[in-house]
Formats: sequence, C-alpha cells, structure tokens
Amino acid sequence: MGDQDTLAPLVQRWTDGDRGAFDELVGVLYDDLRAMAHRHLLGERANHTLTTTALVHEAYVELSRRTGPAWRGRAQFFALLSKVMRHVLVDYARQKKAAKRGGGELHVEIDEQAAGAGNGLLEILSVNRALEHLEARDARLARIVECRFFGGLQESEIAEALGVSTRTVERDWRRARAYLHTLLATDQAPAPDEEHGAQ
Amino acid sequence: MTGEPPDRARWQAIDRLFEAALERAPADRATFIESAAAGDQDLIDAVSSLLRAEQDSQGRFESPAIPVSDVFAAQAAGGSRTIGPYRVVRELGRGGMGTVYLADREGDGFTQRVALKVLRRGMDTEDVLRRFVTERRILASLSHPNIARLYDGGATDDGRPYLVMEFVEGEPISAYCDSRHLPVRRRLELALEVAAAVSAAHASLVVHRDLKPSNILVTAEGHVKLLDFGIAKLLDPGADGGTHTRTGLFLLTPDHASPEQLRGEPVTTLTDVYQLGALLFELLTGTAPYEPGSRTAEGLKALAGRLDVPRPSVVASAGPDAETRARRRGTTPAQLRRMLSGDLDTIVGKALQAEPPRRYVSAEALAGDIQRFLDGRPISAHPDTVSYRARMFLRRRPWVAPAAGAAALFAGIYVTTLVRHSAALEAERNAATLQAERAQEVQRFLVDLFASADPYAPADTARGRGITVVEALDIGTGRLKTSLADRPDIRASILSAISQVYQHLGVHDRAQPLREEALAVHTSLHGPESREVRDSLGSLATIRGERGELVPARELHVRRLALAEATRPVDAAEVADARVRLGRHLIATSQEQLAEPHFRAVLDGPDAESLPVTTHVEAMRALADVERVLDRLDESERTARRAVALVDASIGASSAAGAFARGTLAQTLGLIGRVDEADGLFQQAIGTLERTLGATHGHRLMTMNNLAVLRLNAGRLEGAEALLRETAEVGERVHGPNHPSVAGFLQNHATVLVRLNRPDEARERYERAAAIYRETLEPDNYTRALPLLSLAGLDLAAQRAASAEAAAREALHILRAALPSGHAITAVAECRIARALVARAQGPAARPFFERATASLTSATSLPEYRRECLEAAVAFHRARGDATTASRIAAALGTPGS
Repeated sequence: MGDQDTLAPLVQRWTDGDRGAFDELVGVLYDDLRAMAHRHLLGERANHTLTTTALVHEAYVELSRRTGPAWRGRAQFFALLSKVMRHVLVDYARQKKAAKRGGGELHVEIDEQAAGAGNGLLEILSVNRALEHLEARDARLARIVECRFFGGLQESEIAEALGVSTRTVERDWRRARAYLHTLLATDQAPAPDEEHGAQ
Repeated sequence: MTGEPPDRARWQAIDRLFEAALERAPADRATFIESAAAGDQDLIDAVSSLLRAEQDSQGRFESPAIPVSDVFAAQAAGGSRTIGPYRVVRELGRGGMGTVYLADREGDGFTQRVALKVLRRGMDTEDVLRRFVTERRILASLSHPNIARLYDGGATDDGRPYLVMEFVEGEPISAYCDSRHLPVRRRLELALEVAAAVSAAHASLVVHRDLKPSNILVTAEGHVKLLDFGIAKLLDPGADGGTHTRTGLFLLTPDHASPEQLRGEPVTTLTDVYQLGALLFELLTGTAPYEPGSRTAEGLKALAGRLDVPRPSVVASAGPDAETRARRRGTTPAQLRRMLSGDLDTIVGKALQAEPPRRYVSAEALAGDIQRFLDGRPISAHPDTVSYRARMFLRRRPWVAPAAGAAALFAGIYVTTLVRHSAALEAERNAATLQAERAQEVQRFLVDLFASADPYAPADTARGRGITVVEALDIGTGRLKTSLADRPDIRASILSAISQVYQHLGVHDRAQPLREEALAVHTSLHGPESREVRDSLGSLATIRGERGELVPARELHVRRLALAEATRPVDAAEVADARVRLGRHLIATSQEQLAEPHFRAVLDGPDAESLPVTTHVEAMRALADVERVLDRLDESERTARRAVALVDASIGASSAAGAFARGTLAQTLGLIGRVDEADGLFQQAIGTLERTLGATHGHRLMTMNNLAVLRLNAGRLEGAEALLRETAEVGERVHGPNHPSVAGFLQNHATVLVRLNRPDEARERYERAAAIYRETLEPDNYTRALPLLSLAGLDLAAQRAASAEAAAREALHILRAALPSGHAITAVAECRIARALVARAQGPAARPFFERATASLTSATSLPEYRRECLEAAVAFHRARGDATTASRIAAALGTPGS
C-alpha cells in the first residue's frame, strides 16, 4: 500500500523533476488504484458501474488527502493517473488473453473478435502498441491519447495537465486519432504467407 | 503512411502539412496539399491518406470498450492464486517494493513454505530479471545462518517480477528488543550478530544497501535473520554500473539511507557500515539518528551534507519520552546516558560518519569494537574530534611533528618498562631480542641475495633473469624443508622473502604455500594482530587474487586493512598500502566505484606526502584506471600524467614502474583518440619491461596485447598482427598451450587476420582458442562462445552453411546458459544460425531466429558492427519474402541505432 511514508517523498521528488521518481510513482499508484477499486466493488456502491473518470477523480481526492499539498496540481496528477490506468488496462488485457491461450482454446483470436468484450481487449493492446510508436515521434500526441483513452479525462483537463490551450488539445487529438487509425490498420494487416526456398 | 516508415525529417514534413491541411475546410484540402507539396507525389499520398484516416476515425479511441469495474472485479475474484510453481497462502504485507505473500510449493512428499515477493508495477521486469540472472549465483552462494536465503525468481503471468525467499517467522529487531525490555548489553549482542552476518555477506561481495529494523527479524529462538540481502541491487536500475549510476534512493526510506545514497553516489560496503551504525543508534536510543521529518528536497540535501553526528547518550536521555525509552532498556535516563557516553558514543559516531572513508573500514571492524566494548577491552576508534584536531594541528605546524613523535616514543618506553617487572622476564626478553637480531641478519642476507633479481627493484639494479632466479628459489625452498626447524622466526622470515620474489616473478602457485606457512608461524609467534601477520595477510591476499580466488582474496584484503586501521599508533604507509591493494582487487572484480574512495583516501589523506613513492604512484595509476573505466577520460589522463611525472622524478623512467605508468596513460590516450602518442608510450613501456622483467613476463605480453588492440581499433592492422603473433607464440611457450590467456591472444590475433583477409590462418587460431576454452573454462562461461561465433562468421563467408550452423548453435547453447535472454551477443548467435539456415534453403526455420535476434538488437547500442550485419541480413530476408512492412521497420531501426 502506498502509505504516506512511500508516497509523499516520491511526490516531492517528482515535483522536483526527478524522472526516476515518476516511474516509481506509477508503480506505487498502480497498487493504490487497485486497492481503491476493490473497496469500491465490495462496498456499498457496488451497484453502479465504475468508470475510469470516476475512479481517477476519486483517487485524486483520497491521495491528495494523504499526501498533503505536495502535488503539483490536480491536472498533473490526472495525467499521472492516466498513465497508471494505461498500465492497469494493458495488464488486464494481456492477462485475459494469456488466460485464454493457456486454457487450450483454439482460435482464440476469432472468438475474441466475435465477442464485444474481446474486441475491447484487443483494442487496448493494439492502441497501446500504436501508442508506443507514436511516443517515439511526438510525445505530446501520445500524452493526449493516454489521458483521453486510458485516463477518461475531458479536453479541458488534458489542456490543463499539459499546459496547452483546449484548442490545441482539440487539434492535436484529430492528428493523434488519424495516426492511431493508420498505425492500427498496418498493425492488423494480414501477414504475408510464408514462402519456401532460398533467397 | 504507406510503404516504408519515413525518417524523422520526412515525418515532420508530412506532419506539418497534415496539420495545416486540417485547418482548411474539407473541400479545399486536396487543392491545398497539391500546391503546398510542389509535385512531391509521395508527400501528397501520405497526407491524403492521413486525412482519410482522420475522417474514418471520428468518434474512435474515446475510451476502452470494457468497463473498468470488470478489470478490478476480475482481479478481486482471483481467490486462490498461483504464481509460477507456488500456491499463494496469504498476504504477509506490503512495502515499498511490492507485496509479499506466504506461499507453498509442493515437492516430493514435502511442502516448501516460502515468502514470495511480487514487485511493483513500474519496475522494469526484464531489467530486474536480467540482474537476477547475473547475481543469482552470488546470491545463492550467500549461505549464512543469519541471512534469509534467496531461492528463486521469475515473472508472473502479467509480467511482474517476483522473488522467492526463505520464509522467516520473527519480529523486527527494534520491536523485539522493546517488547522484552532488553538491556543495552543484550541489544549490543544482537547488533553484533547482525554485523557478523553483514560482514559474511560482504566477503561474498554482496552489499545489502537497505538495512533497517523491518529487514532484520529476531526468531523465537532469539537469533537474528537478515531479509532482502542483495535485493536492493536487483531492483536498482543504476546497479549495472556505467557513468550514470543512480544508486541508493530507489525505494529507500530516507531516514535509513546513507549520505552517499542521498547524494546519489555509488553504494559500497561502507554504506552498510553506515546503516549498521544507524541501527545501533536506534537500538540504543529508541530513535533514528536523524529526524525523518524533513522530506522535502532541501531537507534531504541538508541531510546528505550533514557533518555533525548526534551522540546516542544525549539523544537517549532527552525528549519527553526519555523515561519510557529508558524503561524499555530496563534502566533510567540518567543511567542510560552514563552507559552510552564514551565508547558507545564513539563507536556509533565512527560508523555514522558522513564521508565513507572516515567510517569503520568494514562491518567486521565495527563488530570488533562492539565485541571489545562487551569484553571491557579498549576500542579501536577514537573520538573523532580529538584526532581530527590533532591532525590539523600537526599539518599547520609541521615543525611540531618530531616532538609529537618523540612523545609517542616515550609512551612506548613507558609501556615496555612496565612489562619488564622481573629479572627473569628481562633475561628472557634479552634472549628474544638477540634471536630477532640474528633473524634479521639471515633475512637481510637472503633478501640481498634475491633483491638483485627482483624485477620490482629500482631500475639501476634490476637485471635479473626469471628462469635462473626461479631455480635458485626452488633450491632454497627445498633446503628450508629440512633446516631451521628449531628457529621458527628465522624460517618464517625466509619463507616470506622467497614467497615475495616468487610472487613478483608471477609464480603464484609456489608463492602461496610459503606465505601461508609464514602466516601460521607469525600468528603463533607474534599474535593474530601483529605487524608480521598483517603483512602476510596482504601478500597472501594479492597472491590468491592473482590466482583467481577472488572471494577469499577480498576477505584477506579487508581483514588486513581493518587490522592496520585498528593498530595504534597508526602507520599511514601501511594503511595506504592496504587500501591500494584492496582497491586494486575491487577493480579486478569490476567494482570500480567501490575502489575509488580507497584511492582518494590515500591520495587526499593528510599523510599523502609522507607515503612511500611506490604506494603513491600505484594509487594514482589505479585511480586513473577507475576514471577511465567510468568514462571520465580527461580526469584519467591528468591522473596518469601525474603518475608518470612522479615515477620519473623518483624511481626513474626506465623502471618497471615507469613502464606501468606509461601503459596506464597510453590506455587512456588511446580512448581519447590520440593514437600516435599512445602507440609511442606503449612501445616505450614494452621495451622497458623486456629489460626489467624479461621478454616473457605476463605484464609485458599484456602490454603488447593492449598496444595491438589500440592498433586494431585504429586500423593499423599490420602492426597489430605482428604484435599478436608474438604474444600468442611467447604466451604459448611460457604458459603452455592450454592457458586461457593464450586463447585470448589467439582470438585477438585471428580477428586481425580476418580483417587482413587471411581467413585460413584465422580459422586455425579460432579453432585452437575454442579448444583451449573448452578445456579450461566452465561450461557456462560465455567467453567460450566467442571463437565459435567467429568461426560461424568465417564459414558463412566461405559458404559453408552447415558448418556455420553447427558452430553458431554450439555458441547459442553456451550463451543461453551463461547470459540473460535478449543479450546482444546471444542475438548475434541467433542471427548467424538464421543466415546459415537461409543459405541452406530453410527460410521458414530461419524466421524465428531472425525475429528473436531483431527483437533484441533493435534497441541495442552495443556491438554496432554485429548489429548492423544482423539487421541487414534480416531486412534482406523479409524483403525476399515480400514482407515489406517488417523489412522497412527493421531498416528504420538500422538507421537509428538504439532508438
């Protein structure tokens, strides 16, 4: 559990611009979010569906209470949580896929594509892969996708988090979407048939 | 974005135009890009395709199509879990590193109960596991009753690393002591047990880095168990060395971190000494030595630079809860204060020094003082302020020093006078003195006899020839077996002298038993902490290090330094020599960062000017080596030049020491790119070594090898070839045909021959090198694979695909056992197998090899030539199979190494 002992100095170091602290924070928050969601599911509000947006906002309230005023600001924290959510979702999708493979089912891919949830799983993984390519080219575009797709943030929150105007976020989002779309199209293109013989 | 992925500039051009086009009304876009692209059809196509993608993707990527509650529900429902072969029983706790579970593993009729630590997300799994593979053998060898074993490691299904450790039932040491109201003495005994365990781990080259009460449990039987030994290093992304080591702060709670960890400096065994001091402080006083309150960046910086060390006696008896803390130690605040002031304040203060060189030199030395305190004997540490002031006083007033020396002399006489309290005793002592004088005479005779043949003696007297000296020594050793049985002291002196000369001649296997015998005699004659014993320990450590017995060598070096530091009065030259030798050993085991503080302590210490010149020069050369390895080339050059200047002015430019200093400087200059200057210095050094040590001495051969590597890298192939031909031939004559260093020379020689396009000669040498390695090295030593890989390369070039495949497969087999998966060398082997398969018309079989190899090499920065060769082959392979996408992805990676 990311108790105050672990969290507060990490936040401070992150605020001071320590890159390593950022990675550690992601790790600590990962477990915190999970614990928070568990409480949520077991608690009184289990009847309503928990959205990413709700979880991220709730996490902000709880964690800022525990760490005091160390956060650089609500928006930056949201961006951080979006990154954590990305880890959470990608892990989940991988695990699901691995579980199915391990279960000895044949034609897993087809089954998954037939079922709506399976489609969601595949999309998470392919968006994540495409995002890795996009990160190498334009880090800001990638951040925007992370905040929106994985973190459930609104355009105004993204603008605040990245320190740009809402208009910029709107414009960048269109470009990011186009790149993701293109990358996903190449990603899922059928592989050329294996051929025999020497070069 | 069709066809090949464009390079960065191209991509930016596309992106700019795409962005601008989006600003236009949809109907105007086609015309706009037509005119802006100025006939660049590819650009027009790329941007048009992106514009279509933008239209098609409206409303997409808004959120994942699965509700987040499903995600967490799935993880909550996962009742009984298994992780690898382990079944999770229950959660034991959570901490900075992750979650610890109690888990079982079913074996043949037994159940192994373990603690299983699943690391947090955010730690790079591959990195952690790679470090685990490298450290595994060391950690597995850490078998000590007070240290919890590390059994196993792996990755969970979702890719998080986990470590499997001995499950220990116990209570954290501070809680254990407090709940039982243990008195100070019992607490010290427990701390002693902790220090002994830490010291044993240090002997196995493992540093804990995160010693704190929660990592030290006391079992129901009342014994301590240290958890997580070596784990911090596995989790530290900076632990692999390199210039940008960021060690320490990673996941450490600041109130337990040492100043060097807070400053982001390298972690050493002295870090553990500091943390032992902090533990001792806490056990004695009930509070940590420094307020954990200030966790801000400024607070931490202040903490890192602190110079004052709080006194346990003061802290223990102050504060509102002083009464409670004293009661938990079965005493009152006033009594506790009296108990701690004096020696315990001094011991804790020395361990907690902010500057590592000012601390106890080892955990063992700290344990020694705790033991002395418990036994009621005088401790070795002195109150820091006094000695510091005295030193400063002497430095400022050099003319006072002789008088102070005289005072020490008087003190010595005073002690002797006390001892000589009876006439009988005095008579005995006189006899002993007589004997010692006689022994000295014998020794002087022997040493004089051999000194003329000792290659390390100053240049003007050094004209010895190795073979004859060894023969003479052999005769002398034989004689000693039967003579002087009744004069153990004289025998020990002669044994030491002969051993020393053997050692300097590089005949270490004969030097060792003589030195060991001398050590045993000295121990029984003079006591285990005597000067004679300390000197023998130092020599023995060097001998065993030369013979490759690294762990015992290090233990001996550390022991000798600890004894030298604890001796009063301190002999600065002895301490410096001990530091230099320990540091050299650390360099030999690739622990340059641990070594550096020792050399700095010698060179920057208050006694630097008065040290023997050989010690001084050696410390400089070693420091230059460290600086070079750590890529601080300018500093290394400066230091090496200082060493050369000092040797030339004192011992002489044409001495062996002068040659070594030049070799050191040349190594650095070669890396800076000043090849001519480096070449000249190497040649000068080789000439000098031939005259002083003889043409066949290992140091000379190694210097020739270094010169050859310099020439090879500079493209001066002919010069490199001649040198390596000679080193290989001479090496074979001296070491015999089956010595790994001969294989190294052959391997280097062959590499030059390949570059000179003489493949047949190269092949013959690679084959010999491979055969020698097969005979002499452990099966999982990755060096064995190197000549095999080279042979595979030759075979591929000569279109002998079957033989290439066999050699590369043998190499891969070795590398898989020796290195973590995904290592660049392993990828080279995979690539060569793939190329052989392609040549044998087995394209489909080649594909997985290419895929694995490209996956590891795409992001690699090491071995650039091999990386290029491999990726180019992969590109050709995929192109030939019509897989343009993959081919161009790899081609793009080729253009941007390490991206």
